Amino acid sequence: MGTLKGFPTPPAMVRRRQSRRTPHATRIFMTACVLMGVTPASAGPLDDPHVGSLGFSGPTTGDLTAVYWNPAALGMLQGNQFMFGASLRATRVTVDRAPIDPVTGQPGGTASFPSASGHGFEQPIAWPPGPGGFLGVGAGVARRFALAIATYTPFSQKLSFDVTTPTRYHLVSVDSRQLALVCGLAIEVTDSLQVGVAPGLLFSYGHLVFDEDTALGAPAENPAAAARYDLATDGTQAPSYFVVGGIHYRRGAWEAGLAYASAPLGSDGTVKLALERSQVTPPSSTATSDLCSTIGPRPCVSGEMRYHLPDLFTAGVTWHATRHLDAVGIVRWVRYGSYDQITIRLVGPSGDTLLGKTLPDQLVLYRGFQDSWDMRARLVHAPWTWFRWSGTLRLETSAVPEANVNAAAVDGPKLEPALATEFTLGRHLKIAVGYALAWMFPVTVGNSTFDPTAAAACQQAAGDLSSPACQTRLAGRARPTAAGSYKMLQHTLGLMTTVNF
Amino acid sequence: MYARALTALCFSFALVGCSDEPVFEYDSRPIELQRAPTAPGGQAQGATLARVKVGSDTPLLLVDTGSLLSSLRRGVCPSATAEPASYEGDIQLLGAGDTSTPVRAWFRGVTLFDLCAGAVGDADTQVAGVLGGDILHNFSLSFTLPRDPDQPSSMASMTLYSNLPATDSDLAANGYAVVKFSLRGANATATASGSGQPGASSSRVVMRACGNPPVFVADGPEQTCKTGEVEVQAAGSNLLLALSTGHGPLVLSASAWRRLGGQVPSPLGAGESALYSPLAANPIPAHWATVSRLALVNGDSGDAWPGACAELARARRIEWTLANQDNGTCFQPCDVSSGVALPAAAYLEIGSDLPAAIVSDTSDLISNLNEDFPSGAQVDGVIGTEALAGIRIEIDNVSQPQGRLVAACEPGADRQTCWAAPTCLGLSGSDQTHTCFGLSSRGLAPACPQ
Repeated sequence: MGTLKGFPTPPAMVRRRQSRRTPHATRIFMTACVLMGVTPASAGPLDDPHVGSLGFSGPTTGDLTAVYWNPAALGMLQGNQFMFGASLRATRVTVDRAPIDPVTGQPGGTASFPSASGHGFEQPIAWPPGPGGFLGVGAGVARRFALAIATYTPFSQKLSFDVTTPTRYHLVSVDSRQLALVCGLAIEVTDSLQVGVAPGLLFSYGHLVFDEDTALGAPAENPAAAARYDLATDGTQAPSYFVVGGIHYRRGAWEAGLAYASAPLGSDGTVKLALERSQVTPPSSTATSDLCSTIGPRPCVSGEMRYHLPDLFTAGVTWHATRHLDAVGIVRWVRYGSYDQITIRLVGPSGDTLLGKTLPDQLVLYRGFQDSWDMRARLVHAPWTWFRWSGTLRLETSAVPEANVNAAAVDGPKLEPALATEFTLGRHLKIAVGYALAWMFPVTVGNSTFDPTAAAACQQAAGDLSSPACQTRLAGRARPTAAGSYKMLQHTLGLMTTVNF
Repeated sequence: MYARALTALCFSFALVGCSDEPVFEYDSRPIELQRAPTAPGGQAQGATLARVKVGSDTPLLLVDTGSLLSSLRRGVCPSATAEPASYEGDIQLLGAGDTSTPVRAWFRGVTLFDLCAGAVGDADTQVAGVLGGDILHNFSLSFTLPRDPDQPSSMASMTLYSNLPATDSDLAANGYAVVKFSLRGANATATASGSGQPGASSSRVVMRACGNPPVFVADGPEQTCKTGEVEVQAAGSNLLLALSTGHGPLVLSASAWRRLGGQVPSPLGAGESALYSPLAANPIPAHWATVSRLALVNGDSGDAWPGACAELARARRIEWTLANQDNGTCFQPCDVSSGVALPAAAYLEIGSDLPAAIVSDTSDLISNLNEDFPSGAQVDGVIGTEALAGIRIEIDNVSQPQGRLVAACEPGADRQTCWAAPTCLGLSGSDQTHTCFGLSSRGLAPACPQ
């Protein structure tokens, strides 16, 4: 135990004995309530790899970010703590679609597309609460317990393409956020072993815009036959619930943590979003440009979007190599395999509406994700008691198989170096600043899983579900091809303030 | 060693995961349906029929929201066993188009009875089985039942959805009549003895209705109603009806028909065509008549509920007041509470002169409908598909806590033929407006003096 004295992250028992007082529960609760009004940043296409302090947080880190990384590590919390932080994340996606056959829509023809750029800027100051923020308060209680409440955004996606770009049939824009409000409890089982659990509520928000090709023949991807689906929730939705659990073990100069975060529980991991602010614009080739009646409400289309969120396992090891140097290894297994599709059902006005006739009222958007592995190695150097810095290198496998990549699901193997510093100001305040640059190895999609001929072929087969074309349609893959090359670059700038009191 | 044990453990969990739950595969696009005759010699506007794959054969399959259980015969009829056996099997539903029979839905691992379902509509329309409420109640079912079956483009269809994600108020605002229903039929045994066979769960849609209400004309004379008179001022007869797409005509028990003011000849059905119902093994003697109008009315069966006809009358009085508001009309005292108009119940009114089969109260059909609840509210009959012609309906079985029928008339429908009235909520402030009954936006109307 003595060998660890003076390390930047002193072990639990040492710090707990330094605790001056036990916080008043009411005060914590009231503070939490105030914090809930404010808020919270992404590894794979959906999840945020930097929840908490960019460059310092992990499953063996004994601060409030442990409610996300590993609730057991909350057991190392010392006294009362309040953390708030924000990340700014800028994403740029470049799509260069392969030329297509102007008749069939299949890749390999003469109809070419301009390069399309998608941009996403995520920041927490927004309503509904934006991604990239973290807010938490907690305390060690009665030596063997620690309690915390925190809010953050474990999953988000924000990307917007120019509406005239060729990505329209897969994505025009998306803004998806899952805000978590979590209570964490850690119990010290032995001097070396702690367990923790953090049940939470997940508040979802979504806004998805894409085009639906209503034509079943030549010319392929005719803009005049494209219907615009603009689907949005009205603020955040009634929450689903989930739980994070973990263990933390410490022996000598080593610490290890293992945690599991569930998908939404009680609904087979399904998130259901009521699409209360939705609009469907018929193709310009149709006589009517508005589905709503003259005396009815606007918007006149409502519906629901369903998808699965992944659960994830996180493991981490910290080696306190010297008094001033820690080596950290973190692995996350994000079980994206469950994120296979988005299903949408819409309901329109009762009159002579196109919805349900020429415009589909039930859509399946194929995603076809696969599990991804997020691995990172980190060195944390603390030359002085008031200053430490870290360097992290993160590698992540693709959550999207190459054939399934499209404008709405751009992913490939990624490499992300990150640098972070933390200053301790006085006795109570720490400020950490970090920067990460994620670079995705360019992905070239040759054989896209999306088949532009399947819709017409299925129609020809009278909707016969035993035909391959209708199976393709059923899976949501009867859409214009997504063949082409995809590039992505992401900058993340994080700021975290920690107040110990 | 540990790896092997772990693999075995995982495999065991995987097997546990392979539960006996049925698996449904469908694409939420219309499935074309054929229609049985409404009666012997009648038009093909009766029960809804699909085709089903049985070996290399594609016999007809009845799609019936009123049948509690599903069946598909595996052999030839008559069945060799006196009492039908149940088995776990698949229904491969084929679209019943004129030129092709594509696979349109798969219901895998469902419980089926091996029996001969018999004739539907007339003696010649034999079906190999029934796709019943036990399977259909897993879906929100949209039916399109065209009024004119002779038009080639107007084929009946059914679409299976996993749910209907719209609130009652959103649906009402968009012009749909939302009528809640209850499910009946639980604990009825499938066979005569009931031994060893799975019992049925509640999956039969039962709704409150008003039979033979008078014609409503918005510019007609005012209907007055003093406080406490809401039931007195009701016209028509309250009915409790099952919604069955396995029947063509409206079917009423003799006692219900008498309540509507009809005469029942004796003996019932002599010299008239019999009714071929999927809920009865043999043709049922029937007297054929017409019901002038029928309104399916939203409301519950609680003690405070005045009944379907009273609710319908109230909704019409409120509509009359709003339609004539420019002339200084007011809400009747019985339709007002604390100075605010009570909500007008949603209703679906259909007419006119709906063909109806009148059957004995002791017939197998009426007995079957009431088998689950003999001492409670009696089901008076069945609303068949002919009565719903020209209406787009969605039977939302998935909605909680209560299922709902969401209905809209085909565009251009004449009010006397089809009228879907969404609920109309009263206004409490003079700064508020609402849009009801297809009228333009209206402000607050006063209550009439007592």
